[in-house]
Amino acid sequence: MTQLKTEPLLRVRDLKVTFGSKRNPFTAVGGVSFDIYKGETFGLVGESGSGKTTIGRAIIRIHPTAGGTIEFKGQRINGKIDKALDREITRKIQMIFQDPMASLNERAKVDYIVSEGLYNIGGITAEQRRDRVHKALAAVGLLPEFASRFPHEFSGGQRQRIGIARALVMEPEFIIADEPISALDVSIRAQVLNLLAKLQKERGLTYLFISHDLSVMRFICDRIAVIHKGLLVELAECEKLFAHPLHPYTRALLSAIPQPDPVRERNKQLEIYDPRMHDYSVDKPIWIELEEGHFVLGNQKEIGEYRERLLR
Amino acid sequence: MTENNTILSIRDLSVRFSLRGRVLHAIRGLSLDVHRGESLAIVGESGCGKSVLNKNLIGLLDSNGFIDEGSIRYYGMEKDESAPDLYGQDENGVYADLAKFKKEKDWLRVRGKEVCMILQDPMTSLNPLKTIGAQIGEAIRLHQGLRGKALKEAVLSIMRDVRIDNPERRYKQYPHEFSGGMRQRVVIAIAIACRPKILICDEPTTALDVTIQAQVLYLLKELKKKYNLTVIFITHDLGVVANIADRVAVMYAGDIVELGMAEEIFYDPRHPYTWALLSSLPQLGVKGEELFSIQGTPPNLFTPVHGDAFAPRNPRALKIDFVERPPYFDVSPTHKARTWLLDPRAPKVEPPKIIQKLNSEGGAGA
Repeated sequence: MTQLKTEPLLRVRDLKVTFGSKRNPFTAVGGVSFDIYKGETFGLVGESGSGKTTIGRAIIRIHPTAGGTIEFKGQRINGKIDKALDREITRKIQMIFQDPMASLNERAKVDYIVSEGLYNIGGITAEQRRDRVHKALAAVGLLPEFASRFPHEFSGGQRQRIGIARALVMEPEFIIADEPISALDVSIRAQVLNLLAKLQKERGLTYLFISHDLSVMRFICDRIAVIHKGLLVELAECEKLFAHPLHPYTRALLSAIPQPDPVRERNKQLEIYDPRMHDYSVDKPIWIELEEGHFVLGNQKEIGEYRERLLR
Repeated sequence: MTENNTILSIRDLSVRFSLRGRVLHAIRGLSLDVHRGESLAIVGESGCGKSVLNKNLIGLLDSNGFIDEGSIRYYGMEKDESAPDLYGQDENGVYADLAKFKKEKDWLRVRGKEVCMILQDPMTSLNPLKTIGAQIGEAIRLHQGLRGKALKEAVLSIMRDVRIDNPERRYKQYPHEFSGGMRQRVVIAIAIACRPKILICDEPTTALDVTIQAQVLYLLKELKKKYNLTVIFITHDLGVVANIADRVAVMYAGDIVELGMAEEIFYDPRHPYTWALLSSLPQLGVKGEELFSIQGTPPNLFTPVHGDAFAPRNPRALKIDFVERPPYFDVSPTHKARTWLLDPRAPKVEPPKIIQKLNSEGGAGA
């Protein structure tokens, strides 16, 4: 494995997540491995039901894992861990949710919503708490007096800012953003994307950005992993992925991005991905690095084709 | 385009809502012609009135809303002798004034047969307790009067039309057994089964994945050709608009601020709001730089709007923008915009760089 930046902040190896009973399990994530480096934005893209959210939730310990390891700064954080580490993880890894209309408690004031996490770690006076809430609100561009209001008084974009403030108040190092902008309007999307980029620059945050929209990914991510049916099919730096998409599923995703250009859009050839095109009955697929930092899933025959495509 | 090609003509429409003793002016004197067989996209932020406008066409305006001015002339219906005051005749032929329709009985003649609507969320627009076959069949039974075996055949054929695999098995299934994209196909099948002349799609792909979205858009284009539909497309996603629309209307605060052919809107936009919408697309953003975002919020429509509604959010607004509402200025026979920038007396304001870039790229592509 080549070291692109520094030590990985998060190392995921052969992660498996299953749902359902032991006797009849459903594999949502079937063995994925990737590293996330400090200070980068790592994108996870795939269709609904591909397991991208499940991976995010497994990292933050909402879903129990069925196999593999997740290491955060060299320490294993999945499975059974001691209480102190658990607390530390909850503080250092935070999540931003998709729908700002559904993810805020309608009956609590903004002050409580933002500071709920602080109550749990304890050892903080009321004054310190208020101070941190105000700082977090200011960081996302909201006024401190908003703290005494209820969520229904805010617009969608403002509510998503409250969701971000709630994550920031814990002073995390790693933020999992699960489709943070797909429920928002076009004009507000830009505001939230800018805010996320600004916070990353100021605080050296690391993001795991989960989305199904590659056009947004291209704008914000450093590296992108493409996931399909619980397996990673391709992983590369953003520009490499867009320049040389190798796996047919990645190509289908790229061709589906709507471009604001009517002439090109009308002549567009849509690539449709059919998983039945792979013949994995004899020749099993492997996860292989074809150029520096560019991984793809394929069997020997396909890898030959991918190599040719890369040279073209 | 000749005049008798018009299927729908909205004139000076004004819609208000009474809300807790106050009156909200949702549509502010809007005029729009829809041509037969075209696909028209209406673009704008949430709350700009695009859904309210289209609910007027199908009689689904909320009970506290009312039309206080204007007409919606629909050319395509035969005169109903029992209610002659709802109809009239002008140079385009016999029309029904949908703005005057009040009774449920009158609307029943319009809904489905003439105008049909596809809603955003396919899960909430289907009945979870009935099979897919029964739900599509209901529309066919009501509008085409088929029964028994013939009805089932018609349902299966329409399911094939919307590319639902294995229709015989799917016929007996319930909505929860379908994925989001497949459910939206079912909703489209129900709409098509009514054989409407105008199909309104209210954000049909917002709840869908990018790949599925592309397939549903492709399907809609295919059906439009096959059934000779006029499609009105409501969306806030300009990428989708580029894919499907012949003409684009940009709406802001209850009014159309710019109207033109898709090429004109994307390659030669004139209204500052269209510029702002296009610039905030992440597809056009440069990595590492700040993405353009529109400052402020849309105006409060409880209070009367003076001048150009977009002026308070427009950093380059002219003085007159705050005083007087701009009229439409024609850019070309098919392209007009409501901005004082097009007035011959106005100072020359260059569109943002990002738009110029799109412009030159589009020129090369065309």
